[in-house]
Amino acid sequence: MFAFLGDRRVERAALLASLLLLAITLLMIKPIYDQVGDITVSWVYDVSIVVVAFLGAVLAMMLAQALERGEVLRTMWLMLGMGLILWGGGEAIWAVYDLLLEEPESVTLADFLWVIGYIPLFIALYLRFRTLRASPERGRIIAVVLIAALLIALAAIYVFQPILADEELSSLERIVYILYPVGDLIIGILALLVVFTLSGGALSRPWALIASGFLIVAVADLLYSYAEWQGTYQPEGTTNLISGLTDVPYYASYLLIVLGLYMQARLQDVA
Amino acid sequence: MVPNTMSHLPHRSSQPLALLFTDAKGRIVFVDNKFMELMSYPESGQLVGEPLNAVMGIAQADVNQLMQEVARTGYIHEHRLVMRGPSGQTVEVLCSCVATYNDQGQFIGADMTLYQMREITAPQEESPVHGDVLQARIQQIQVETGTRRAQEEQIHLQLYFTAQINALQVLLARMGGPRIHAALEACVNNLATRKQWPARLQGGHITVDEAGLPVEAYAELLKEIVHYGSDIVGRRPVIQEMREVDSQIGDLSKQAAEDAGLRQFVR
Repeated sequence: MFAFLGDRRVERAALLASLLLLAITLLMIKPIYDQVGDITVSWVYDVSIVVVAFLGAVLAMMLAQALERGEVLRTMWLMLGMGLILWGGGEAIWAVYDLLLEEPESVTLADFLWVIGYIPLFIALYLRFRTLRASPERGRIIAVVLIAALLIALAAIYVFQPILADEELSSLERIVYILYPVGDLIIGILALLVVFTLSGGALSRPWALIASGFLIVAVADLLYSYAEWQGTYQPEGTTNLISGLTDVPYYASYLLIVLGLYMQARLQDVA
Repeated sequence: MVPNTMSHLPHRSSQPLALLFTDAKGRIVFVDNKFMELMSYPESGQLVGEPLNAVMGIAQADVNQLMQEVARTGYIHEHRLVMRGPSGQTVEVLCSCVATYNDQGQFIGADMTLYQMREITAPQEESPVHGDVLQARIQQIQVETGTRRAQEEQIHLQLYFTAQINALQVLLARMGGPRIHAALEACVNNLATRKQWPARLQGGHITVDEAGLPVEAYAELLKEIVHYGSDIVGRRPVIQEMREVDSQIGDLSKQAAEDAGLRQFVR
């Protein structure tokens, strides 16, 4: 089924990731969610996503370690790993709030880590794209521009406008909540540019997975922000279609990034 | 007279007609001048990135079967092909394919050697490997280099230089795709233009003026390629490929390369 991945171990990893995602998806279906219980579902989701995020960080660091000091690729993988460590830290702190404390009303340390995490991720993707010294074909650049324009338009209408119009928000909250979609978009677009430039080469496959992960994060975050503002995300603490459509892709995005990193590690004979 | 710089070649009953290198999906990463002449193509640069079936004028299903077979078995011995050129002419050849794998054992491309049609021979006891096709390509480069009027030292140097560039370009094309292949050529050509060196890399072929290049130019150009290649795939695979090429080159070329500082990368 995953023969296109071209490596038995990566195929097995893809199968495992798919099963994990299937399990999470099933848990988000209301009858199953109610049967299993919201606390159990939250524990499974929150803890496993932390593990997946840190697994990604470990793989990125292994990739960096396999390269020589001074190589720009080493710096790139280090930055990617650092970004995932920060995001994993954000997930961990959010898990503590979600599972043990009350859900916070405002910006937390988790938000700080997620937002700061964009910086090394941006550096990593910028380094990767810059060192290719090439760009995608014109048609693909147009595709990237159109995708970016669409996402920016959706963000502007459904996220930026409500945030800016909400007088109850502090300046810090406004900044953080706007930085999420902005950061996601920049990272997602950079990743897409890398994939399109490497198109046709063996390196394009792991990067296609990594880029897909970052793009899905962008869409999932947009949907989450919109649903939160509308009050339709997990109303009364239970799941619904909107929260499922947000949480499952968000989870999938981490799995895709990790799978892409594992595939790259296999290509580099690191894993 | 072109001195014999070649180490022992695998046994063949005829010289190759042409060489092609593909990536794992059967897209061209390099074709030699002989293939261009055989099929009456005007310019090799246009073929990089093109699918094999289009370049050879054979059915996609036949290409798929060939690529799957070589990926699975590692070697195909003298498979009969009827190619159709852009002018509609047919060319019947025997094609031997050697699979190239990365360190993970993943198939990353095929090295294809075309031979003239003759009575099909039994498969060799020992299947050739990537190094053998590199060697055939090196011999080809030697002939191409030797037809130009240049000092003997320059011939050996150009042979080493061209062999290394060719191998690295194939590696980067397989790993990074056609855009990276083109970017590598742009890097080399930009540097040569800036330094006013009479060298040009196009379609996988390096063209050097009859008088040759200043000795330092070879090292600087190769260094640029190694630097770029390391940025794409990491230094280790680049150096590994260079060592593979170095091991196939004869002693005289090695010595010329050593004197010009080209072998610093393989130590």
